[in-house]
Amino acid sequence: MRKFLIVLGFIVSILAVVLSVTPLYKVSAGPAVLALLIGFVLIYLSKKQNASKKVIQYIFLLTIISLTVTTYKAIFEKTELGDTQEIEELEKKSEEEAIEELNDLEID
Amino acid sequence: MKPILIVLLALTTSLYAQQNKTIAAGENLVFTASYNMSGLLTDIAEVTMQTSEVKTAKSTLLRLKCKATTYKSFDGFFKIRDLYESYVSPTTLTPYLYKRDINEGGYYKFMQYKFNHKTKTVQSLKKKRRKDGKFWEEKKNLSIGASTKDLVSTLYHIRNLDIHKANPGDSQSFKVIFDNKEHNVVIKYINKETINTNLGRKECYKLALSISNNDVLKGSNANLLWLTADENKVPVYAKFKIPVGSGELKIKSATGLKY
Repeated sequence: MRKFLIVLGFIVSILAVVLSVTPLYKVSAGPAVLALLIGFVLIYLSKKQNASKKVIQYIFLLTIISLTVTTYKAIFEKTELGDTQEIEELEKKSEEEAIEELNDLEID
Repeated sequence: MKPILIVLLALTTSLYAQQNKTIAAGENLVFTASYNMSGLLTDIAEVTMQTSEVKTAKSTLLRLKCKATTYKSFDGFFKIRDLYESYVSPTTLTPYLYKRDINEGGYYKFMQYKFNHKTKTVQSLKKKRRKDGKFWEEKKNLSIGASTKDLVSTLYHIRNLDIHKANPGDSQSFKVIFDNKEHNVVIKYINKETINTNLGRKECYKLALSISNNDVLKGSNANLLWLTADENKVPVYAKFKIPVGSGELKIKSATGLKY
């Protein structure tokens, strides 16, 4: 049970770190909370079985990294538009072409 | 005499109903599009709806332009640069030319419809990019109904409806040509609702949209549109459910309105 939770804890915390660096960073909150819960259960089990807690620290470390990145992004990341030059040029070109097309059309 | 009067009255009413009373050139509506991921809404793109006047050799038309651009953080992940245009009559919103230029995560498609309302036909042009980077095109002549419109002009046409005369539960259907097929779009007026928007607290008409025989929009009453219950009928909020999830559109700013 303890080993299974350690493996699961690692998978979930790594997933949280990976998601936190992607644009879908908000989704990483779910795996991060799950990793924290697994961490607390592991501490409880380790105390009960008198086993080493060192490996659990890594799960917590990864989770804290992911939560820090997510929080930083949520506060400081600006929602600004990417490169719009291409689409602006397309808009102008499209209008010019449309006028030519419309000149040939029958408009009531 | 009486039946003639009724027919005349009905005709003038229907003609009057077709007149554009809402949309003016110079209007600029900006929206934020959010996508629902595991219950969390993430802002992914900015959508703008602009109108402008276009002068051709023979007439002056209204250009209705809808543009979707993903935010910088999403560009590396899934870049969207979509441009939808419709060139319509400024008095009746009847479309003459429709253009759709979409660039979504490397996928490119161009569609153009030239409307001929006398012959009730549409000259369609489709361009796509192959995997090797080369383009191929397909030209078709399609027959359409008398009132068939394109997607963009339908969106603006909804704003031009006399919703204040409708009762909750009333619905109206429109024929829309999309991807060379005619679809039946049904708009149902649900009720009036007051919601908080970036433009302030607004009383709105809540409408439900559905497309018959099509899977683009999912669920019943899951695709909703809130239009301000004033003469401008500004779309301030929309909720949509598509095959790959759900999301919403929220107004950011509205300038150049008619009233």
